[in-house]
Amino acid sequence: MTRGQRRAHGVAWLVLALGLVLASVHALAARRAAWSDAEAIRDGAPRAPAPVGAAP
Amino acid sequence: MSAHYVGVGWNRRKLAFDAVAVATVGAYLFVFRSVAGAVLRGPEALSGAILDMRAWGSCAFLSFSAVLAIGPLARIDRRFLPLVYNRRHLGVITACVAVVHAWHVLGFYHQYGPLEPARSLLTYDVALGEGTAPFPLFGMIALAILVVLGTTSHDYWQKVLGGARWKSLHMLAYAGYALVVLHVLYGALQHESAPGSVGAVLAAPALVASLHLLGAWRSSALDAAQKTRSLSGTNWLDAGPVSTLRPGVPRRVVPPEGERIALLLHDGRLSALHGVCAHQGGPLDEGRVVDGCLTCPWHGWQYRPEDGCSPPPFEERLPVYRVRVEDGRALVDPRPLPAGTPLERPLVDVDAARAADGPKDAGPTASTGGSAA
Repeated sequence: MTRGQRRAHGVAWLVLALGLVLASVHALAARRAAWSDAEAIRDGAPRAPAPVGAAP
Repeated sequence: MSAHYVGVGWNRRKLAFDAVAVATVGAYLFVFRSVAGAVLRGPEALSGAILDMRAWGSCAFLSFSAVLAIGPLARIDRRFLPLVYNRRHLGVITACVAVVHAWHVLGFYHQYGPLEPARSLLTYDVALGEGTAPFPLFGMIALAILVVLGTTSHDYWQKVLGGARWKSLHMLAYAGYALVVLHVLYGALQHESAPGSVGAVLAAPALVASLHLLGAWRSSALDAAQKTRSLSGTNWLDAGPVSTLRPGVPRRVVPPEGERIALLLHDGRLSALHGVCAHQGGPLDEGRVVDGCLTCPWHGWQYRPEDGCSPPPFEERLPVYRVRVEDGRALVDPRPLPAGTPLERPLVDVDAARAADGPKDAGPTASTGGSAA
């Protein structure tokens, strides 16, 4: 690869690696929240009310 | 390289690689179905349709990861170079596996509604809210990228689009891979309860990104360590003693500006060619002389040492550089001559140079540019 292509690859992967770390943290937090909600509902907590106008 | 375009220029290596790749895909699907079917029982059990979907999807994810890992692996260790030769075949196999995954998705989740499966997928309401993301959309865009890259992976399209444009287009693979990871993170991983699933999903992208960053760091460290010094008061680069050159094995010369140069001793004569292959940017300074031509280690494209031209009937040409020998040292002018310019190649008597140097100069020094071998 040319010098410019090597630099572009390096920068692209740096950005990609940082983005994937952030996305992983966010997705795992969302997963934990969804699972704890599901556990709470299973344990008898009331479900959140449906939004106004939502289909039954 | 071939003089005319055919669907696939099959040879024994390609056939063997494709056979192993397809057999690996088949074995993976079989093992996934068997193990997941055996482990996930009772309330955790999945239907056969979902198991198929997950098997093909995870196979495409791992295969895509493998495709992207080949480049940096070859940069880190030369033993992985043969895989670069067949990388595009693995990319096409990945695209095919991803298409089958999408076909399973359409045949299950979007089969039983009033809408056509494709329209159902495109109008899918993912109920965007806190902590959710449109993971089917990520998957669809990634699939489109994979199909486009698989379709244009042939050398014909590289010729039509031009090398730089083709390379830029194929850098979309990185965006595609990021979308695949998001597709998995916000899709299957949100519901997957199997032990170790989080680690298994994150391990592949972590490994691929680490390999690329390591490869980039190593490549730039190599350039910095081997940056060739100019002869004082001139533009000529001091590429080290000719006595340490090995016939047929190029030495990497790294000028302060511009591209790497491959300094080559062949048939007792010295020449210097552009270090970047005209095909896909392979490192010619890591190649070898085969049949009298400097041969790229990636896909075997060849260039004559005397003028940087590919042998007839091929038409590729590389810039070349003037070279001379002074006091037993090879000197390279880093200003490139037009591609295909016939070179004056100085004769070098390596045995005499070695005898003159004696044991004190057994190898190149870092300050004079090390050997790429």
